[in-house]
Amino acid sequence: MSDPAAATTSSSSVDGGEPLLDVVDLHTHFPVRGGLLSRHKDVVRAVDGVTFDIQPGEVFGLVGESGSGKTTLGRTLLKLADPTSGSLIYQGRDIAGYDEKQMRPLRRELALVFQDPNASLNPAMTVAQGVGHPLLIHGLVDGRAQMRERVAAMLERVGLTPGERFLDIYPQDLSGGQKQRLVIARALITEPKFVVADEPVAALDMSVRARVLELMLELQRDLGLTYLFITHDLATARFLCDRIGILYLGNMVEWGDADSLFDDPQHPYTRSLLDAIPLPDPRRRDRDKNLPVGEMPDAQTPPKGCRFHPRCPVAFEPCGWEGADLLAFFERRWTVVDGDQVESELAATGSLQAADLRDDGVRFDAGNPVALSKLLEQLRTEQAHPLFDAVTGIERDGGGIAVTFGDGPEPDLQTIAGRQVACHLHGTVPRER
Amino acid sequence: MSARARLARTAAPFRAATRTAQVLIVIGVLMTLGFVFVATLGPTLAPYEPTQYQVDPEEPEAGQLPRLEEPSSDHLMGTNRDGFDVFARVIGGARVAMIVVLVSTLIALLVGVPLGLLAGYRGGRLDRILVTTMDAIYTFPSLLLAIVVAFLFGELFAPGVASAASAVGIVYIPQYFRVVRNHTLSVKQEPFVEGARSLGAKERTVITRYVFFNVVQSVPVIFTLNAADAVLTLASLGFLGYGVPPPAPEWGFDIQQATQDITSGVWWTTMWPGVAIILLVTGLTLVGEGLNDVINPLLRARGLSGTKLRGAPIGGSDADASLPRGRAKAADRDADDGADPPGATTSTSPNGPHRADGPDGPATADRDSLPPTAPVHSATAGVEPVLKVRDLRVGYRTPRGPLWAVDGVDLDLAPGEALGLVGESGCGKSSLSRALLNLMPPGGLVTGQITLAARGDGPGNEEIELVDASRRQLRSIRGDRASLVFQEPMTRLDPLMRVSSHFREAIKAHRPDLSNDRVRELTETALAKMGIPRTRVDNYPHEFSGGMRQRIMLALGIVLQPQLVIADEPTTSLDVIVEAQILDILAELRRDADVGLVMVTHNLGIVAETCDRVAVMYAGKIVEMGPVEQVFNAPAHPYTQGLMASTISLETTELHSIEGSPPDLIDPPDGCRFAARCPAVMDRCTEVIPRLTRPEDTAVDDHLAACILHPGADPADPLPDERS
Repeated sequence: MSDPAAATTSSSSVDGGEPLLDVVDLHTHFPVRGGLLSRHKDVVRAVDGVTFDIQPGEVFGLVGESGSGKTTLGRTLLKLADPTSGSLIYQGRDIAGYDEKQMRPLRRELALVFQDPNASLNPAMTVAQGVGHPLLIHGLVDGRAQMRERVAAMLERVGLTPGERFLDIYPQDLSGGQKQRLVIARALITEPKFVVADEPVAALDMSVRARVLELMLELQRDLGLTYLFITHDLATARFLCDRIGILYLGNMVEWGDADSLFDDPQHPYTRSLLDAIPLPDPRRRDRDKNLPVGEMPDAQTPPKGCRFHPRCPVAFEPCGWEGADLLAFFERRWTVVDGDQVESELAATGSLQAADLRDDGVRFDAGNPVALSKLLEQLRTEQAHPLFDAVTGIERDGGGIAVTFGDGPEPDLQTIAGRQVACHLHGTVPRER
Repeated sequence: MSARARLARTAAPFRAATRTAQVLIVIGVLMTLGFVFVATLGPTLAPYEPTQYQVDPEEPEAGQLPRLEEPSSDHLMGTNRDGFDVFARVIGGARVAMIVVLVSTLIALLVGVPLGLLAGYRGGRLDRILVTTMDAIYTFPSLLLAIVVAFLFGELFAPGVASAASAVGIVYIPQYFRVVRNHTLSVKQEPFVEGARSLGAKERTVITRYVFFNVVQSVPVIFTLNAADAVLTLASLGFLGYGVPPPAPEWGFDIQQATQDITSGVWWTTMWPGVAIILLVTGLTLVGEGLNDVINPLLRARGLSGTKLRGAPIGGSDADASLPRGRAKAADRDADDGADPPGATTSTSPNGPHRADGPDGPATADRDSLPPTAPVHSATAGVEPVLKVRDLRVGYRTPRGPLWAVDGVDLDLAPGEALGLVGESGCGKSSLSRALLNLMPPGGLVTGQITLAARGDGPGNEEIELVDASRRQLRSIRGDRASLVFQEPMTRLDPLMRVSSHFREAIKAHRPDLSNDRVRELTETALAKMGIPRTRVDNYPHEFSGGMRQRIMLALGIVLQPQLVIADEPTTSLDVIVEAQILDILAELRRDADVGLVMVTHNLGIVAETCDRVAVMYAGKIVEMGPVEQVFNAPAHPYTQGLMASTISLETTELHSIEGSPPDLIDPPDGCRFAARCPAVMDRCTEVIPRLTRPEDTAVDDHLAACILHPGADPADPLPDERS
């Protein structure tokens, strides 16, 4: 925490007080059309039941990898994407159901800063036209002369001095850092209350980043702004944010005070993210990283139970093991054991592509059912992987072998060390859907 | 003021266009303007009316003009079968053509553009209906369609110029519609369009102010090309008898009328209308094609415009790396320049940034400032480097003059060593990494020396000089002895080829004699090393996630056990956890296989995690180089210090940044290129180019920095070994 005053605001705000934005069980699903012939519709659960609040005057960090739903969540909060369900209470009003027309007057209070400054400015407008457009849209100025005056003043506010010199040029003629200042100027010219900044410095060079972040913090203090800062970069989030929420596959897995979250992460995913950051310190290169395996799965078919369990380095019995995990286990195993063993095990399991995934497990179209059954039993006794603890049955099923798994409930958020954490390690609290 | 800015911006792409495009446009515009001029002033130019039978209209009995008269001073182009003056007919035809072209293209534009915008922006059912309709029109042969429409309109209203123009115009509506719709679809995805919504703009405002202005730029091209096509369509209609009804002057009709004259040796009645058609169509096409060159950004890519590069900015490069250059006198160097391409010294020196002061001034200092015998190799002294780079320069053509993205780089890479190449965007690190395999975009030039050491014995494995290597030699090296791993793995894999086929192709290209079983074995081993199971070897690229694809690319890069792997931001598009996984794999790979690795990145953390040595680049030059521990713990160059300070880590409690921005490499500043941004700048900094020297207080030999804060870096100072 850089600013002690900000620290007190944030800790007191956690205790209560009217939040600027209260997000309750928010879902944003997108339909995906199947093939040309299939009429059945799948959905991408980009945001899948998120609950948190943003206090006035704080910087709330939303951290996640690509595919975590962080950008969709940010867009939903500004109603640029329509929530499927849940409520979105902005200053006492639930705006989740507002249509475009109802939102329009509110838009001057809600602003958006994009990641890529090159793409977020209209190349066909001069600086004065682009930055001043919101003033005209909301009828905040009388005429062009006043608009130019306001724009020039705003440009100087974001460090583009003298402002007049920039009015009649096109954004393409500016550097990346200057463009991002323009984007910030455009976002703030209507004097908004709440700003969503989606990776505002990710596209900028290291030597420029700090200057833009400093500007954002300064403006926040001077204008009393509230930020939602979306980023994949934990280091920047720690420096900038009062509170932080970690998003994984559309779910908030941990959220709370920034410093304590970094000093003592309670969710294994948070810990993995912290361990994975490459440190600019060669002396610490051989530290134990304990990285999760694999990558974030598709939000169309999220894993059962805890969504992080297939990758979690400390997953155990109740985490939601299912058939797909067993197939992934074999695939990984076959990259490390020697060739002959791969041949014999592959002969026993048969093609993994032919295996049938079911609600309660998986059925192998086994090449050699007897050998497979023996192999599975052996792996189970060896406890070759935590998933075998959740196996409830290995049975003959026609010509194949069916493996069934026990229940794995989805973890709900619980208060641990003053934070909200969704992990079975802190006691199993099943989530109601 | 705003209008002037807009004008200047509109003209900018024209100035940036290739010389050919500029000439084409000017010729085309002149030709077209000629016709416009003739069409407007036509009646005053011609002595007769195009439909004039009589010499004197006042007197009906004055007699007709002679028929089929040869060109003479009275009838410049002769007269035709009907006793019309051909010159007057051609001029009158120009007038009709101009009107039809203008009206028809306007009709097409005014209908096609708004429909395209609406369909593209709204999407959904409206889009589907419009697209289907337009496609149906488009598939119809255009001339046939024009005939049908012209005939219909002629019957419904009256045959004439208006009907012909509408017929031609309707044919072109789908063209505008398709181009505008597709363009709208892509512009709609741009963040600034969503940004406009977030500002509270109404849909109409978004479409007109944010989408339309970014879509219309492609319209002028279609407009001129369509105009050319319209001239032809109109003439065809006339020729077939469906166009402007006679006796109105129309080129196509006149040619049709005159076809029977040719056999009787009358050439002037067909030729002049024909020439008119050819000239106008050519003029309009030239304008269209020229505009296309100006507007199409792909053709404007760096390297295709500007003067061609011939040599390095300083008077030629030194071909003999073993020469102790620091002590080489200017005269000696001139003598050694024999290895350079002839003319290199003189042809480019005016463009060379350092020669501006004349050959006798600071240029002499420049030569002395070349790196001394300083150890550019790693601490593993005595080991023959796998890669030896001397005085490497990489240049590009730009409309404003040559740009030297890499400007004199020396470095060595030991077998099994990992060198991190860091710097901000535009510092030349990517150009350098590509130049190491002599992979250059068109118009790019590499000079200097890049030596790849021999790999064991046997043919094809000998030591090779890559800058002078033939294309065939380079092909045989790339992917076998040296490979490059890029940032975007998906774009480097063919979506229609199985992963195993990618490997088979890569392996067979270099080892045609290997059996299929052996190829399969190599593939499976390389992929297993990257954590990809053999059960997935025959899958297609799209069946893998982003991180897996990058693993496949790495496996492809190492399958033939190269001596050198160049990884250009290999993890930039990946998430932090997957990035860490890939970095672990790279580190393992290097330990096992003794591969020399050049890791290009902007992330200091990645260098600290994976590299033995680091080279920091700024504005085309290496400003600091040394063992990772040394450089990270005690950075010696103010730029490195600034870069380290501005890196945000979990421990960051205060933000730092480097003031200013990097210099323009087309016209780089004199002296140290970092001087303008340097907090420790002195007067001397802008006078001399500092050379890489070992900082006094450093503990190791191979730590070098190019900053005159350190004794020996000023070219006027004695060299370190002379100092002692």
